[in-house]
Amino acid sequence: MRQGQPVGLRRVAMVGAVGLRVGTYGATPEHELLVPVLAEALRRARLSHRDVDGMVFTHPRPYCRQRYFSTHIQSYLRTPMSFVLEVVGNGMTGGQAFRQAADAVASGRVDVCVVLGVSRESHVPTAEHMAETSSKAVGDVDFHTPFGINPLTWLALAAQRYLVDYGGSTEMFAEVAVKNRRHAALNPLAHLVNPLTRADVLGSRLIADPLRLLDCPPRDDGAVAIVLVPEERAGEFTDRPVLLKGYGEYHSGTHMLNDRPGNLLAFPAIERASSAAYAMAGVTAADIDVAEIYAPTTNMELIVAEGLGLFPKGRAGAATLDGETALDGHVPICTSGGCQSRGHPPLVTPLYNIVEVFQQLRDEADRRQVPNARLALTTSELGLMDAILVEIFESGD
Amino acid sequence: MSTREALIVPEVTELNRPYWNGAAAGALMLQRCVECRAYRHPPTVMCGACGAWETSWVPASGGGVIYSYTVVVHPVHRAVERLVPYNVVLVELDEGVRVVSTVVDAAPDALAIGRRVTAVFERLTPEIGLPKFRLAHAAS
Repeated sequence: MRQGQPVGLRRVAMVGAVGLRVGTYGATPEHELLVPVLAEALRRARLSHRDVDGMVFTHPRPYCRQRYFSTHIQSYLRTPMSFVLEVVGNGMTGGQAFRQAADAVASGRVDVCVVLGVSRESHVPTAEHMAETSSKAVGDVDFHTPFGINPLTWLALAAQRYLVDYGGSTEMFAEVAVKNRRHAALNPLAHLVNPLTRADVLGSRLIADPLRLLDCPPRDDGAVAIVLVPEERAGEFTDRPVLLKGYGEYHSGTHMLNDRPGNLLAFPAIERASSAAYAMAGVTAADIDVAEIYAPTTNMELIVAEGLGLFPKGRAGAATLDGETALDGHVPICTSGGCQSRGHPPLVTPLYNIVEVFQQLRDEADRRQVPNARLALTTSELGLMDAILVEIFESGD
Repeated sequence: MSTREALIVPEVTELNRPYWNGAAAGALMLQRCVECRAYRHPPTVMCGACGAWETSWVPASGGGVIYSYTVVVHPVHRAVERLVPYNVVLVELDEGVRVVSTVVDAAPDALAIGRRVTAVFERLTPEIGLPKFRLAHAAS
């Protein structure tokens, strides 16, 4: 595996990262959600819209009315650029947009590149979304979907194995939700902030056994803008840049499940992508101060945390019950509140994860600040961990 | 409109026809590589194990074990509003490949990881059968 920083590429720094509070925004169209966020990100990085060289967008949902979305937004800025792109990567769309922008800066193609994501979900009823979009998108349309499978069903299959193989308990899943809600209550960008108990989670209605309503994310709207520049120019825009130290990407060659999908608790994509990211950053899992994990349901936070090496296999559940993944634990996970409570606008959830670590590594996370956070890890994934992106960031001040 | 019409019905193609036709006739058919003898599912044009293109179709025994399962209680599709609660299982066939399906005539608490199942077939149309499973009795 390649060790250290790639030769011949510029190092990338994040100098602005702004998100809309996650929630439901009714009839407000995608461009009106996104543009104020873009303007604020530029303002905070002391940039004029004229300074932007490139933009990478998450490609909007099929039900977005505005077509040619990136061209439309660029026209708002009346700014010529050399690089504008829309990215599709299913669940890791936001993560792929970030990586494309980072690569464009690293290669010298552009200097000031903005990652822009908007995910507008709440105006489409869940049943319609699931029937028309998600169910066809998350498996083999002929061989999986005729059995009434949906995104949560897949994650429930992994949850059952966690209970049986590791002697896990639904209390462990519930504690993930409770812990994430406590974090969300301290995050101004979070959607759901009312206090929650394990009994609330275990008493909420079953969705797909053993997952209950409060193990699952709400359907949310959100928008994020992140400004990337080469590290040597970061000082022009902020005195507290956040540096991209490493990343890894791995596509396992499965679509939800193939003929031999292996172990639903040990996905090769997580282990391979994180190993690559650690090697590039020159760190190990033990060095990570805070992790923002893309985990739509509570059980997946445990499985991904183990895959990342933050805990031994089968141990993240007990560690969560012991408070080890809470703000004051030794590996705080999802300090934003995670998908269940910060919220889950899927196209931009990966970017909200990056916004959270941007704040943590700049000591801007206020009451949810992890003391002395220097190294942070983010993930995004698609399907049933068919593919995953891992990024490692370091405080640059 | 029946519930089945509202759910996605498989589309028969040149590639997958033996599977659906086989199930309509009461057989669980799998692709098997002519070169390396690996079974595979769902059907593909090429063997992912060895890269060979020549494929045979062979009947599976129909036996397997539940690798994992869930009972869907909340109907997130309109198509399944009248079907809930229903189960979705991941069955590891005796041939070593896994298939997504459902177990018929089973109480939710009868499902368990590791339980043996055998294939049964729902005929959707004259040319499409849907392989499902039934719990195998331990003593039989």
